[in-house]
Amino acid sequence: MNISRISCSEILIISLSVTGSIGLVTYYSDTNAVGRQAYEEQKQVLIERAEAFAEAKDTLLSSIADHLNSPGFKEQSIKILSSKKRFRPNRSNFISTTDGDLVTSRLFQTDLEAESISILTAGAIIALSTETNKIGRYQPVQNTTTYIDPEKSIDVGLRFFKDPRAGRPTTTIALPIRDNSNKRRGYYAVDINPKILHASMFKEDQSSILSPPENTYAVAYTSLSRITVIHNPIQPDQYPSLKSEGINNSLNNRPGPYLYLNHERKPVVGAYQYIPAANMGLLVERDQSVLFKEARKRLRKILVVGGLISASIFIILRRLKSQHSQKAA
Amino acid sequence: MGTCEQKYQELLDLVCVLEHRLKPQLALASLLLSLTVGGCSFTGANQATSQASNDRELLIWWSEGYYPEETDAIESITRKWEKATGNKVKLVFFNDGEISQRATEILNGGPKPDLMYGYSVGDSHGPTFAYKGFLLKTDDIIKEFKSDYSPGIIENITYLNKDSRKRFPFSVPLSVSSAYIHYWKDLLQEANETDLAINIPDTWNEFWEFWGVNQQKAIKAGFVDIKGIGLPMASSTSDTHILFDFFLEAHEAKIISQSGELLLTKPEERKKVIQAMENYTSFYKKGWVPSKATEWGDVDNNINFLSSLSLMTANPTLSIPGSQTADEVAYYERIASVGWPKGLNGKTVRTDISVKQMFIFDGNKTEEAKSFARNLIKPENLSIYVEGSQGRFLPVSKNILENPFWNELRNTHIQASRETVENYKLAYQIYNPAYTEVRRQNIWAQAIEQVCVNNIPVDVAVDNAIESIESIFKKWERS
Repeated sequence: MNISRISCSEILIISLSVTGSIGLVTYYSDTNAVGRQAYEEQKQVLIERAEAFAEAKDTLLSSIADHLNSPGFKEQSIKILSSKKRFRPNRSNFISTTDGDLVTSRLFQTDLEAESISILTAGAIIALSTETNKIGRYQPVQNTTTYIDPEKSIDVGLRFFKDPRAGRPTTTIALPIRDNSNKRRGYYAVDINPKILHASMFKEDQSSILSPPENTYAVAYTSLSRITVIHNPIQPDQYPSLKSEGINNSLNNRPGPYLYLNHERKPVVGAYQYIPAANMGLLVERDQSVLFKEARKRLRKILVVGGLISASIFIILRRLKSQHSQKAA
Repeated sequence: MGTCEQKYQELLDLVCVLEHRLKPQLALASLLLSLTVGGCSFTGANQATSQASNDRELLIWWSEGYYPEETDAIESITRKWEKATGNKVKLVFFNDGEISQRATEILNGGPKPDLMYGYSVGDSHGPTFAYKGFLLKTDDIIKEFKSDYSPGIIENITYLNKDSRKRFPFSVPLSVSSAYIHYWKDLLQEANETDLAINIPDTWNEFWEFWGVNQQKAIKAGFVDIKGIGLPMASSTSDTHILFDFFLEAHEAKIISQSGELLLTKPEERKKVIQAMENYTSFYKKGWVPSKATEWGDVDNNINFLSSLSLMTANPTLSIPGSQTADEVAYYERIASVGWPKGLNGKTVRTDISVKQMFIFDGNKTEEAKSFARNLIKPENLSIYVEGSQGRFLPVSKNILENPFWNELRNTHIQASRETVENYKLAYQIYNPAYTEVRRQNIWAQAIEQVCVNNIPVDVAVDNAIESIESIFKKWERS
């Protein structure tokens, strides 16, 4: 072999290219395997949380529907709704009172972690409420509110909407109160803080169970143009509009990749699915930066070792070439 | 060193996202990799069910009503059609925000139903759906009733298609509405300590001033939480755009010409827009509008007004009185509806009418979808639907408008709505579909919100809005 004809630079470039290729192939292979495994773990967590959420929601709705059939409820609520009293917020110099002969604690459920419970007229004006300053206010019973007619089905997806008064998403559940002739006389409405339903997904208040830890986001269309989380456990008063491929796919019940940029533009491994029980998307995400740490270390090792080998070959070849040219001279 | 490590990490993560995304380009690489490292799958995760099957149910997306009577009416008609035809329907209800965002997703390649009806989707998405070829033409469905439609209905559903460069009807009209003004007759009387009817001024400036003055009277009378005017100031509701359009019209500001040209660049039109926005936001600045109006959603002016927290409000449907039909005193005696005051030039303010329309998407269920639509618009069904909605929208059919339900003399709500709708003008998005993007982004509402929340000067907010609108139009022309 005529060593003088070999170009050291070409050898160096080839050697570095081979090193780079091996590095990238290895990195790709590692991240693919780790990413797939991470995704499978997250999917499992996602399924468990979705089931826990759906179960909590079903329990909640059943409890509310059962209460409507409890003894005395219909009679008492219709008595209130039959009142000719005009329900509206009182003037400041009037004392806000409910009908004295009605014991609200007997009428309203006590086994619910509700923010407020109300009886609404057929025109959806609050006639009686655990929150007395709501009396006389209007409460929509559909569209933003989850309307459940037990005569049809209680398997209805919850609606979340941003309540300007609370400054955060909320969910209100309304059921019709019918008289003996089956005429709708009013509504039973329950305001639930999504925090309760959100918490139902986590066993023993553990926000994460995987290692490295996962983040769970329950997102919904909470206003005309915004998708937000239904509850923000870290900053409970912050509900910025969120956007990511995972969020879009989950809300549209659409398949998609598990490697994507999340709403903070961070690369993540994400498992997600649409939760019809609450018209929401559920996402379990983990940062790629943490998951792929080992793969990066391995890549760095390959690049360093490969680089050193390439440099060594380059130096040896140059020496050989220089010796060869000296001999030839 | 830490920063270098971080950058390196970010770069690799992005490479990883990209290399999993660039599937076709990496197909060859995948093959090579599979040979060397035992195979890598590019299969997408997060599988969902597909709607592609031909033997599936007819999928209908529908706006859920604000009260159950509306929903009951469409459900009942649907179940009867199923029984009569043997077809199966999956009728899915969405609220305003969700159906609107799902409509936007359709434009981005998201899933679509066979039929769709959304309260604001017709105005915000209809012309774009038609322009981009998502919809079936509907001439054959509506031809039977063409002569029965009220003036303006067909023009408002006749959209331009990009490929054919022609205009066709691309939807099935069901009902029509505009924005109406409602007020509490009894609260106004109590504030003025009188049992007599109070005249509402019908000239522009005097009309709005009237509510400010009466707010003070109501507060003096003890209604300490009340505001005079319940106008939305938020970008989170489509109502803000719709109502601001009345202010543009009252100030004679023109946004788009009949040939579809954007007129906002003309200094005289810009000046009128600034005046209209100054007028609109001044009520908030004066404290005549609830402070939370900058955060309202579509339903929140209903909630605020019906909770007696404002003396008057304006609303793009008759849902406010409609919700109170079960309470005759509230519906007929306490709440009243009036027409819009005359514009600054003393002329009647002409307004956009919003045709509530059903879209049929091009897909594999078009025959069933057409059959459903034909059935729904039969007068006997359409009257059940619009009357079931408790008069929230007016029927598009002249014949149905003859029914006693729409002609009750003591019903100020229906009478005021009929008068308002009769003074219609064509909506800007009919002249140029690019304006649907302006509506979807709620550009005018964003400007109003900025003025109220961030105290941005009106001329700056208007200039920002004009810039955004120009950019939308330029992008549209390029697309």
